[in-house]
Amino acid sequence: MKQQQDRFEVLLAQLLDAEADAGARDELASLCAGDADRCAKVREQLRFAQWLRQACGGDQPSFAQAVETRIELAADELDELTAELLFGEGKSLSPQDEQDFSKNELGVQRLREELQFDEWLSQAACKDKSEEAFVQSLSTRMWAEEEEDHFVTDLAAKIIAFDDQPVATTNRILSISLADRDGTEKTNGVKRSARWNWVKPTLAAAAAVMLAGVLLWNLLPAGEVGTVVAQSGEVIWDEISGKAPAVNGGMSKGVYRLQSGTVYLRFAEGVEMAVEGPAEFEIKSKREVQVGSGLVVTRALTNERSDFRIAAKGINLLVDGATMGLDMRDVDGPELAVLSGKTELELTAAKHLQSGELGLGKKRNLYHFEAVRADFARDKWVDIPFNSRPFSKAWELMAGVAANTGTVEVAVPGRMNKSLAEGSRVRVTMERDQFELNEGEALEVDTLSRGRFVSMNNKKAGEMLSEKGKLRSYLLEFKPGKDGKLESTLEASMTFDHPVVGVIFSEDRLVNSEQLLGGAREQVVGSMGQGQLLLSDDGRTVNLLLSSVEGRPVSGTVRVLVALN
Amino acid sequence: MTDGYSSEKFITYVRENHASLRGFVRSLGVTPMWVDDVAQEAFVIAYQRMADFDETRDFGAWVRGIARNLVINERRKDARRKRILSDNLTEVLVASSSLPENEVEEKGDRAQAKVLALRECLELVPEKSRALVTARYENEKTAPDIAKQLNMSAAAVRKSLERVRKALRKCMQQRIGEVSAG
Repeated sequence: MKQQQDRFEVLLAQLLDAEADAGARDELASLCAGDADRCAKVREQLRFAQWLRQACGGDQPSFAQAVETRIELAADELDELTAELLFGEGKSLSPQDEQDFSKNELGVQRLREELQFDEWLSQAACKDKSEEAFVQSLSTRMWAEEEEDHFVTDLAAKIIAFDDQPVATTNRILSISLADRDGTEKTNGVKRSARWNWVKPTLAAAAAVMLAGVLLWNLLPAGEVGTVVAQSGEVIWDEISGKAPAVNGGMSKGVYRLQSGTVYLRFAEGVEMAVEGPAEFEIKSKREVQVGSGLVVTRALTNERSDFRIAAKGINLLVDGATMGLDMRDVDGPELAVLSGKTELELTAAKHLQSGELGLGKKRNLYHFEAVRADFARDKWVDIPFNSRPFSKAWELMAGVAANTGTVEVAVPGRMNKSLAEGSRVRVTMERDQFELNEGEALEVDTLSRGRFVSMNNKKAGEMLSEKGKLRSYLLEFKPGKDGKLESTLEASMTFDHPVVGVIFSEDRLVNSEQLLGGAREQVVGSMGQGQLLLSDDGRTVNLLLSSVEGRPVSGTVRVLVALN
Repeated sequence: MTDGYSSEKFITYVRENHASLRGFVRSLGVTPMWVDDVAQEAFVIAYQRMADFDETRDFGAWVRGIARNLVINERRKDARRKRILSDNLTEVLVASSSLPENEVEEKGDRAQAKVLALRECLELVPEKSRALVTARYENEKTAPDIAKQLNMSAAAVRKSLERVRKALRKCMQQRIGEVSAG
């Protein structure tokens, strides 16, 4: 109690000395809540402080000026806020602004009117916001949410009527599809289902038209815009497009059909893409790929915001540093998962699907381990559970590490299930796909001699990593389950597609590097202790030899750093 | 609600009130891209509760009341799921909105007439202003993006758009006035 009273006195003194920030004011308010004596004391002290100020200054005009300035400031802030809000830029009010605006009834009323006017202007200017579009979308929603009802059929008839009015001019495909085909029959759920089935072929036909356009476009000659970095599985290209690039072969603009296997492509400006067949895609330019179907993983090896775009049916995706998986196996419900980083994606409004126009839909930011599915019927992204499993093959190729033995498993980001984390295998996880050491930033690695096994048991001499340019880090983990068995030794071998420039296995160096590189798993397991490590003569292959101690298998982690440049 | 007559009536209500409702929803600080979603949700709820609606009263006011509650509830949602720009902004805006019944300005017919008037006014603005409006409202570009596209500064874009909005508002008011007077 006394502590509270002391704190109250301190905060009150801060308030009187104009030193109380928003947090202190809130705290003071909470201490006064329900305590009439404290409230009275604050009031009395503030009144006295005000008299004192007036007595010292004796300047009524300056007080008036101050009030005027404050009002002007509040008005300016409100104007600024209005301008920001009209550009759709979110703003959280500071406690002071909130207080000021709450008192400025007229100002806030004006703000509301501006927002309202903005919405009307948007309805007037934007076809997607027209009455027809709104009612159409509402009808689809009600169809989805209502079971047995006449509403949709009634409404559909109305929509047809809207089409005859000059105001409603856009897209008839979906409008017509919402009505009964004969325009007269009014039934319920069963009929609706039949009607909805008709929508899909309509959209599929639209997509087919789009695809035909794509194929015709392909006949145009073009220069090389990308290369095949690697491939896995039985890679078979469809002959129809006449394009069957080999590893290290160039890729020109045009349509590619991959019947089977997985290919890893690299485009200009560091954008990479892995495609798992069966898939179809079109390289439209060195900065744009249109994906028709299949499984695709993309990433941009650049710190800059790239202009590279992946377009798919109804989707517009900027490849800007995030690693993303696009599942186009079901073209009517494409799914997108962010494997790492953050991205912005856009869903093209359903009415523009046929034209393939971009930049007309709803944008959304997506963060790592988030996944969405495009719901064209509602022009919305629908959140779905994150599942990186479908992208495993494409990811393995892009991860830049090949397992030489069956005891190594390359983990796809976000997949942390027990079969991977706890087994008789070494898990390889890409921690940071690209980073650079800043000026003054140091990273200490363990000293190795190529071609020689080193024991990870004892602390080894270290050296500061001097490599300049872009680096990538991997974490090798071995974590046997509780009943995991390791008869004698476990050998694991993996080859990296970039030269290894540093390895960290000492406990303290692992911990020290955690802040810069960590985050790919739940916790640092620690050094592998009894294990041995060998870096090949060419500096690309890492071999681990793990042995059990007193019948108990060892567990632990190793960090491997490769130079990307 | 399976009654055919009510469905018919509801369709009329939607047509008469969607413009005003969407304006109202936006004025409470709902993120522009979610305005239609919230408005639709309000209509869906209204439809489900039509049996409770007293037809002698204003449907617009009733559905605005539903929307108002939906917006208030947004504050309790997880940050990622929120459809409002910010909690405290919505708090201030909701507090300043009078009871839905009293918001005469937002009556359905007037809002729809305003949108129609605005559409006519848009035909009259100079080409450059029209491009600005299209970029902002139809293509949903940000000020810096528009600036790059039109070779202007972002501040100039904001200022120009403010002027266009002012002109459009004036035009809209004149047209509404003309219609009322006529």
